[in-house]
Formats: sequence, C-alpha cells, structure tokens
Amino acid sequence: MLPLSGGGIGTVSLADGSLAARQALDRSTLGIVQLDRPPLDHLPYRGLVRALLAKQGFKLDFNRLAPDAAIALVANRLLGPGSFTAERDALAADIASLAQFASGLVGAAPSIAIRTYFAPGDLVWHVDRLREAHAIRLLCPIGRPAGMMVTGADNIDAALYRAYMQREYPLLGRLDTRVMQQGGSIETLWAHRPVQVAAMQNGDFPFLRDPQAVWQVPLGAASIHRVDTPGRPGSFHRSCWANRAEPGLQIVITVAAEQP
Amino acid sequence: MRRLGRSGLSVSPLTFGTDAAGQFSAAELRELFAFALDTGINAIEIDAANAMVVDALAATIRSRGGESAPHIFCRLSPLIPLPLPAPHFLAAQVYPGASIRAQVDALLARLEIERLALVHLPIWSPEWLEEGDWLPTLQQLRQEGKIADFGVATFDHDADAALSAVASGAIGSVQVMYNLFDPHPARSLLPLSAKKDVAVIARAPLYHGGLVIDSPTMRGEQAWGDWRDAHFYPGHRTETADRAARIARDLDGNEGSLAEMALRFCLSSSAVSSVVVGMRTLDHIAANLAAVAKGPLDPARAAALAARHAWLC
Repeated sequence: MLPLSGGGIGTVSLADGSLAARQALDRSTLGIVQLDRPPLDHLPYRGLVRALLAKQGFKLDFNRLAPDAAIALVANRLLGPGSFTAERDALAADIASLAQFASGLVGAAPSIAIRTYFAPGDLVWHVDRLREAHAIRLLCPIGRPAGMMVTGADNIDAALYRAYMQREYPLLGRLDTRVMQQGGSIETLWAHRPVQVAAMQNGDFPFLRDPQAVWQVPLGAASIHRVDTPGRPGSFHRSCWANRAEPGLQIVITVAAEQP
Repeated sequence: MRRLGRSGLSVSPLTFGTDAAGQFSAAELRELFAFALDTGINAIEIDAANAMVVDALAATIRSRGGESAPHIFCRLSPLIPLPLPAPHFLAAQVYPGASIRAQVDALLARLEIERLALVHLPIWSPEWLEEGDWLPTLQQLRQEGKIADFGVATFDHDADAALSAVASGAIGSVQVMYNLFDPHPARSLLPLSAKKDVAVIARAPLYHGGLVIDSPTMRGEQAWGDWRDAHFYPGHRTETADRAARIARDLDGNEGSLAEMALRFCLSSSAVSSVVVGMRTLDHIAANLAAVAKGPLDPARAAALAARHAWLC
C-alpha cells in the first residue's frame, strides 16, 4: 500500500509502477506525489551534471530527439565532442526510464525538456496549464539546494490570486525571457519592484490564506504533479528562493492526453 | 483629432471607456454619452458582451438622428473566457471566425450602424498569429465595410504580446495598457506601431483610478463596486497610492494634477491615436477634456517621469 497523501505529499517509486503512482496522485489532495531519487553524489553521471551546471544556463526541449541524442547535442555543444561519453548514456537512460514511467500515468507520449536556467516566475505560486483533458508533469531536479513548495487550491484566495496574477503574470513572463536571454539577477532587474521581489524571497504572497499550510518536496526528490486542464485543477507550487542561484539540472517530463 | 492608423478615420484624443459602466443606469449612461459626444469626444470603447452598454449606446445614436455616429471600438468576446495569456489553447478554440462574424453582425444590427471603427481581440497570445481563421474573417469583414480596421488588445502589462502581430502588418490597430506605472509600450510597441502605421489605443491611463490622488476609493474609505475591489486588494492599493503620491510630489506646481499629467503623458507619443478613459460624471468628462486641451506632455518630461516612476513593467 502506498502512503496516502493526506495533508502532505505521498511517496511513490518507479518499482511500484505507473498505475500505482497514478492512483496515489488521484488520491492526493495537493495533486502531487514525490519520487525518491539518489542524491547527486551517488548518480553515475554526476560529473556530467556538474560540468553542465558550470556552464551558462540553458533549456532544451527534446521534441522528437531521443534522450541519448538530446544529451549528446547538449554535451557536444557545451562541453565538447567526446566528453563524458559514458555518463551521457547513463543520464539518457535515466531520463528515458523516468519518461516511460510518467508516460504510463496518463497513457500518452511524454514531452521531455532539460534546463539549467532558472525561471524567476517559478518563485510565484502557480499551476502549470495545458489544454488537453488530463496532464501531469514530472519534475526531477538534480543538484538544487531546496525542494519545491506545494499547497492546496483551498489555501489560495481565488479572487485575490486572479487579481495578483493578472498583473504579475505578463511581468513574470517578461522577466523569465530576459533572464534566459541575457542573464541577470532578479534583484537587479526588478530593483524598481522591491515589494514583489520580497514576496518571492519570503513567500509572503497576499493570496496565500495560511502560510503554514505549505509542504515541501524533500531535497533531491523528484515529484509528479497534476497540470491544470479545462477539466481538472492543477497543483499549486513554487520554487524556493535558494534555487535561483543554483537551479540545478531540471528534467521536466510532461504527459498530456486528450482523454481523461 | 488624431489619425486612426490606416483606417482613414480621425478620432478624438480621448475615447469614452465603458468598463465601469455597470454602475450606471441606462439613462445615466446615455446622458454621459451625449455629453461626451457634444463636447468633442468622438470615440466610444465597448465590450461586445455588455448588452446594457450596447443598448444605451444604440439609444444615444438613435436619439442623435442625422448627426454622425461616434466611432466605436469594440472588444469581441472570446469563446473561452481566459483570465491569463493562454497559448496552450488554439486560436480556433478561442476566436473561431464564425463567432467573430456573428458578434460583428449582431452589434451592427443592435447599434443600427453600418460600420464599427475598430474591433479588437482581447486576451491575445502571440502564438495565435498564424493559427485559425480569425485573420481572414476580419479581413473579409473589413472588405465588406463592416469594420474600418481590426487588431488585438493585450492583457494588462503584456504589450510585447502584440509585437509580432504589429510587425506582421496583419493588424491595423492595437489596444494596450499604457500609463506612468507601466510605460513599457514606449520601449518597443509604440515605435513599431508608428513605423507600421498601426493605430495604438492606450488603455488605463489612470491605472484604473490608481493615479488619482486622494480619492476615497484609493484611501480605502469607499468601495469601487466593480472588479477593482479585487484588483486593489489592500496591499496593492496601499503600494499604488504611495507610488502615486511620489509622482505627485515630483510634479512642478504649474503642471496640474497627477491625473492631468497622466493623461497628457499617454498623448506625448504621436503613435497613440486615442486614450480610453472611463468617465463616471459630467465633471470627469469636462476635466479630462480640459487636461487634453493643454496638449501632450513634452516627450522629454514624459520620458523623465517614466524613468523615475516605472513600476508595473
């Protein structure tokens, strides 16, 4: 029997299989389950990850590339041809394994991306959104100093949240783009918006009803959360301020199906 | 009067905005419309879905008989009421051509006019530029003479979302939030629109009332009675009022009120065809017209104010 989420975050494992994970996710009031993962120091591709993290932040959507081809593309470009060849295979195999697991939760093909760039917009409570009937996202961060925060939809004042995001969402999107294209710190780029930066730092957002009713995915764990779709609510989450300077390598696997 | 892009029309620097019109009776609204039109405003901005406003406007137009009808800028309704930019939806889901045509035809019939000056697609996502059948539908409506031109209306603070549509030459107008707190359109959208001869309709010059100093609503002593009660939740209201007070302190004593300066700021760019302002009383209309009569703010002064007080950008 898998742990029930109750008020917190349930745990699943790859060995339990996709169906069990799907059931745990369906039971979760927060719309999220965690997936324990080895720490970076224990991963067979830790050297490759550390080398990538030392480079300028990037984001790569695999699109139709297989994981091994995508990793080769990144490694060749950022680290040079022939670098970390054995570790590339190990990382690609791990990504493929996670993608297969996530795919089984929804019964559709996965979309995979990796990134070492940090999107400042992730510091604000949000749901990921897709138009399909059912969608989930698996996030596997490697080498970050803090886990992802989650809270229940009932902890968000919907009217206030709507007002807040109608103002902030486009501004956050512009900030994300600016950081990805040109780099720069949030504090500098938004020096004219100290109240909003402070909220990102301390989590004191006006629409959050109870700042204590917040859970954190444990450091190093992966997570699978529900994506907001026209038929199903998504899971509210945000990143921690500590991650902005050390975003780690993030493996993001999204699976969406037209049928629930 | 200012040119309305490539439409061939000329419009007043002020456009009567009707977003807060739900607070009025139809008779009150007709009186406001009539006064605005009699005093030199020749453009009215409406939401296609607001039946009360449409009916009051129709009555106003009828009552004026042979006088020329105002230029009407209309925001069409999306099929899906999306609160945020939503590129994950398809343009065909949000703005199917059949819905656009039906809305335009219904408006023309209800208003008993032959042509709308502008129609805008609100909640715009740039990903939709080459999707769906919204563009050929609007082009056809323009060719039929039912609309003079068309464009997109971006979400608040999302001016850059219109850049690709303006650059493409596909649209003839864009409606965008532009004010002292959010002068971002001046960076890219306004110059590009001028280059492409695309009409810019500036929205929210007073930041929904936040750039009016010492109003009972901004002091928290009185509710707005509309969506702004949520928009200006206490923390945002306080910060807005503080920042507005800072701008007011920066004004020279001869420059007039902050509200006057805010309106004249929007008109400091020649790329702006008209500024949409919600006006609740006859006095508001007269005061706004008086402010505009002072002329656009000197561009250097406008740039200096924007540089010092930009916040929501």
